[in-house]
Amino acid sequence: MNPYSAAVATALKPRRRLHLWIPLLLVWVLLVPFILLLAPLVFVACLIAKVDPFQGVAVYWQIFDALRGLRVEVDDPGARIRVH
Amino acid sequence: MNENRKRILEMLAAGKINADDAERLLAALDKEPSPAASGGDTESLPRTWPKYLRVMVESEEGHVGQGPSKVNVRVPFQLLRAGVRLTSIIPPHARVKVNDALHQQGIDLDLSELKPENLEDLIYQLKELTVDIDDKSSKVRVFCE
Repeated sequence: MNPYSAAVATALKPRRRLHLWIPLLLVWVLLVPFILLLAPLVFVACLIAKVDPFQGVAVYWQIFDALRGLRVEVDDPGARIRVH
Repeated sequence: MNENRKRILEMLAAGKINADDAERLLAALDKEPSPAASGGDTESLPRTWPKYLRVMVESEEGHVGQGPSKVNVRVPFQLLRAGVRLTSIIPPHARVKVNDALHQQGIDLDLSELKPENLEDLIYQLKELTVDIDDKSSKVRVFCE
Protein backbone atom coordinates (compact mmCIF):
# COMPACT_ATOMS: atom_id res chain seq x y z
CA MET A 1 0.00 0.00 0.00
CA ASN A 2 1.40 3.36 -1.00
CA PRO A 3 1.69 6.18 1.51
CA TYR A 4 -1.40 8.37 1.59
CA SER A 5 0.25 11.56 2.69
CA ALA A 6 3.57 13.27 3.23
CA ALA A 7 4.26 15.87 5.86
CA VAL A 8 7.07 18.37 5.70
CA ALA A 9 7.56 20.88 8.48
CA THR A 10 10.35 23.38 8.70
CA ALA A 11 10.86 26.07 11.28
CA LEU A 12 13.74 28.42 10.69
CA LYS A 13 14.12 30.19 13.97
CA PRO A 14 13.10 32.67 15.15
CA ARG A 15 10.22 33.33 12.77
CA ARG A 16 9.75 31.52 9.50
CA ARG A 17 7.62 28.43 9.68
CA LEU A 18 6.37 26.15 6.99
CA HIS A 19 4.06 23.24 7.58
CA LEU A 20 3.07 21.19 4.56
CA TRP A 21 0.74 18.26 4.58
CA ILE A 22 0.59 16.74 1.13
CA PRO A 23 -2.22 14.31 0.30
CA LEU A 24 -0.35 12.02 -2.06
CA LEU A 25 -3.52 10.39 -3.34
CA LEU A 26 -4.67 13.76 -4.66
CA VAL A 27 -1.22 14.38 -6.14
CA TRP A 28 -1.47 11.05 -7.96
CA VAL A 29 -4.86 11.96 -9.37
CA LEU A 30 -3.50 15.28 -10.61
CA LEU A 31 -0.47 13.60 -12.13
CA VAL A 32 -2.37 10.91 -14.02
CA PRO A 33 -2.84 12.99 -17.22
CA PHE A 34 0.87 13.85 -17.31
CA ILE A 35 1.83 10.24 -16.66
CA LEU A 36 -0.38 9.10 -19.53
CA LEU A 37 1.14 11.73 -21.81
CA LEU A 38 4.68 10.77 -20.89
CA ALA A 39 4.12 7.01 -20.91
CA PRO A 40 4.91 6.50 -24.63
CA LEU A 41 8.13 8.51 -24.28
CA VAL A 42 9.18 6.50 -21.24
CA PHE A 43 8.32 3.30 -23.09
CA VAL A 44 10.51 4.26 -26.07
CA ALA A 45 13.33 5.41 -23.76
CA CYS A 46 13.22 2.07 -21.96
CA LEU A 47 13.38 0.17 -25.24
CA ILE A 48 16.38 2.24 -26.35
CA ALA A 49 18.10 1.62 -23.01
CA LYS A 50 17.19 -2.09 -23.24
CA VAL A 51 15.26 -1.99 -19.99
CA ASP A 52 11.98 -3.75 -19.45
CA PRO A 53 9.57 -0.79 -19.08
CA PHE A 54 7.06 -2.74 -17.00
CA GLN A 55 9.77 -3.91 -14.64
CA GLY A 56 11.04 -0.33 -14.43
CA VAL A 57 7.63 1.02 -13.51
CA ALA A 58 7.19 -1.78 -10.97
CA VAL A 59 10.52 -1.02 -9.33
CA TYR A 60 9.83 2.70 -9.08
CA TRP A 61 6.40 1.92 -7.66
CA GLN A 62 8.01 -0.34 -5.06
CA ILE A 63 10.45 2.42 -4.11
CA PHE A 64 7.57 4.84 -3.68
CA ASP A 65 5.73 2.25 -1.65
CA ALA A 66 8.80 1.66 0.51
CA LEU A 67 8.90 5.32 1.49
CA ARG A 68 6.08 4.58 3.91
CA GLY A 69 7.53 4.86 7.39
CA LEU A 70 10.50 6.98 6.38
CA ARG A 71 11.07 9.65 8.99
CA VAL A 72 13.71 12.34 9.17
CA GLU A 73 13.78 14.74 12.09
CA VAL A 74 16.41 17.36 12.67
CA ASP A 75 16.34 19.67 15.68
CA ASP A 76 18.95 22.35 15.60
CA PRO A 77 19.12 25.67 17.40
CA GLY A 78 18.84 27.36 13.99
CA ALA A 79 16.17 25.21 12.43
CA ARG A 80 13.78 22.34 12.95
CA ILE A 81 12.93 20.05 10.06
CA ARG A 82 10.56 17.14 10.03
CA VAL A 83 9.86 14.92 7.04
CA HIS A 84 7.37 12.08 7.50
CA MET B 1 26.10 -27.37 6.13
CA ASN B 2 23.34 -25.07 7.30
CA GLU B 3 21.92 -22.97 4.45
CA ASN B 4 22.32 -19.68 6.32
CA ARG B 5 25.88 -20.51 7.28
CA LYS B 6 26.64 -21.36 3.67
CA ARG B 7 25.20 -18.05 2.47
CA ILE B 8 27.29 -16.07 4.94
CA LEU B 9 30.43 -17.85 3.78
CA GLU B 10 29.48 -17.19 0.17
CA MET B 11 28.99 -13.49 0.93
CA LEU B 12 32.39 -13.46 2.62
CA ALA B 13 33.99 -15.20 -0.36
CA ALA B 14 32.34 -12.73 -2.73
CA GLY B 15 33.68 -9.83 -0.69
CA LYS B 16 30.21 -8.52 0.13
CA ILE B 17 30.96 -8.63 3.84
CA ASN B 18 34.25 -8.60 5.71
CA ALA B 19 35.57 -11.20 8.13
CA ASP B 20 34.27 -9.32 11.20
CA ASP B 21 30.77 -9.15 9.77
CA ALA B 22 30.89 -12.83 8.89
CA GLU B 23 32.03 -13.74 12.38
CA ARG B 24 29.24 -11.66 13.92
CA LEU B 25 26.62 -13.20 11.65
CA LEU B 26 27.87 -16.72 12.34
CA ALA B 27 27.85 -16.03 16.08
CA ALA B 28 24.28 -14.78 15.77
CA LEU B 29 23.39 -17.96 13.90
CA ASP B 30 24.87 -20.07 16.69
CA LYS B 31 22.68 -18.25 19.21
CA GLU B 32 19.56 -19.27 17.34
CA PRO B 33 17.90 -22.45 18.52
CA SER B 34 18.34 -25.13 15.90
CA PRO B 35 15.21 -26.57 14.30
CA ALA B 36 16.11 -30.03 15.58
CA ALA B 37 16.56 -28.77 19.14
CA SER B 38 13.25 -26.96 19.12
CA GLY B 39 11.48 -29.93 17.64
CA GLY B 40 10.11 -28.16 14.57
CA ASP B 41 11.19 -27.33 11.09
CA THR B 42 12.55 -23.99 9.92
CA GLU B 43 9.29 -22.94 8.33
CA SER B 44 7.38 -23.20 11.59
CA LEU B 45 9.80 -20.94 13.48
CA PRO B 46 8.44 -17.44 13.91
CA ARG B 47 10.95 -15.00 12.44
CA THR B 48 10.66 -11.40 13.41
CA TRP B 49 12.24 -9.17 10.83
CA PRO B 50 13.45 -5.72 11.67
CA LYS B 51 11.41 -3.09 9.87
CA TYR B 52 13.44 0.03 10.32
CA LEU B 53 17.01 1.16 10.63
CA ARG B 54 17.22 3.93 13.20
CA VAL B 55 19.99 6.49 13.45
CA MET B 56 19.89 8.88 16.38
CA VAL B 57 22.43 11.60 16.95
CA GLU B 58 22.46 13.95 19.90
CA SER B 59 25.01 16.67 20.02
CA GLU B 60 25.51 19.25 22.72
CA GLU B 61 26.74 21.75 20.17
CA GLY B 62 24.95 22.17 16.85
CA HIS B 63 26.79 22.96 13.64
CA VAL B 64 26.54 26.68 14.39
CA GLY B 65 27.56 26.13 17.99
CA GLN B 66 24.45 27.71 19.47
CA GLY B 67 23.12 24.82 21.44
CA PRO B 68 22.17 21.15 21.39
CA SER B 69 20.96 19.52 18.23
CA LYS B 70 19.26 16.21 17.52
CA VAL B 71 18.89 14.07 14.43
CA ASN B 72 16.46 11.20 14.30
CA VAL B 73 16.25 9.15 11.11
CA ARG B 74 14.11 6.08 10.53
CA VAL B 75 14.68 4.26 7.25
CA PRO B 76 12.40 1.36 6.31
CA PHE B 77 14.28 -1.77 5.26
CA GLN B 78 11.72 -2.06 2.51
CA LEU B 79 13.45 0.91 0.91
CA LEU B 80 16.71 -1.03 0.93
CA ARG B 81 15.01 -3.97 -0.75
CA ALA B 82 13.46 -1.70 -3.37
CA GLY B 83 16.83 -0.07 -3.94
CA VAL B 84 18.40 -3.43 -4.62
CA ARG B 85 15.60 -4.20 -7.08
CA LEU B 86 16.52 -0.96 -8.80
CA THR B 87 19.83 -2.52 -9.79
CA SER B 88 17.92 -5.03 -11.92
CA ILE B 89 16.76 -2.30 -14.30
CA ILE B 90 20.14 -0.68 -14.78
CA PRO B 91 20.99 -1.04 -18.49
CA PRO B 92 23.76 -3.60 -19.12
CA HIS B 93 26.27 -1.04 -20.45
CA ALA B 94 25.67 1.23 -17.46
CA ARG B 95 26.04 -1.74 -15.12
CA VAL B 96 29.46 -2.49 -16.59
CA LYS B 97 30.49 1.12 -16.01
CA VAL B 98 29.25 1.04 -12.42
CA ASN B 99 31.06 -2.24 -11.77
CA ASP B 100 34.26 -0.77 -13.22
CA ALA B 101 33.92 2.36 -11.09
CA LEU B 102 33.36 0.24 -7.98
CA HIS B 103 36.35 -1.91 -8.89
CA GLN B 104 38.52 1.20 -9.23
CA GLN B 105 37.47 2.17 -5.70
CA GLY B 106 38.57 -1.24 -4.45
CA ILE B 107 35.06 -2.68 -4.18
CA ASP B 108 34.74 -5.96 -6.03
CA LEU B 109 31.00 -6.06 -6.30
CA ASP B 110 29.01 -7.23 -9.29
CA LEU B 111 25.67 -5.43 -9.36
CA SER B 112 24.10 -8.24 -11.34
CA GLU B 113 24.70 -10.56 -8.38
CA LEU B 114 22.98 -8.21 -5.97
CA LYS B 115 19.54 -9.73 -5.51
CA PRO B 116 16.77 -9.01 -3.02
CA GLU B 117 16.67 -12.63 -1.84
CA ASN B 118 20.32 -12.37 -0.81
CA LEU B 119 19.43 -9.47 1.45
CA GLU B 120 16.85 -11.24 3.54
CA ASP B 121 19.19 -13.14 5.82
CA LEU B 122 21.42 -10.12 6.20
CA ILE B 123 18.48 -7.94 7.20
CA TYR B 124 17.27 -10.63 9.58
CA GLN B 125 20.64 -10.75 11.31
CA LEU B 126 20.76 -6.97 11.48
CA LYS B 127 18.02 -7.03 14.10
CA GLU B 128 20.72 -7.51 16.70
CA LEU B 129 22.83 -4.69 15.36
CA THR B 130 23.48 -1.89 17.81
CA VAL B 131 26.12 0.78 17.49
CA ASP B 132 26.55 3.14 20.42
CA ILE B 133 29.07 5.93 20.34
CA ASP B 134 29.36 8.14 23.39
CA ASP B 135 31.59 11.09 22.85
CA LYS B 136 32.22 14.03 25.16
CA SER B 137 29.80 16.23 23.29
CA SER B 138 27.75 13.86 21.20
CA LYS B 139 25.98 10.52 21.19
CA VAL B 140 25.31 8.37 18.18
CA ARG B 141 23.06 5.35 18.24
CA VAL B 142 22.35 3.04 15.33
CA PHE B 143 19.97 0.15 15.75
CA CYS B 144 17.18 -1.77 14.09
CA GLU B 145 13.60 -2.15 15.24
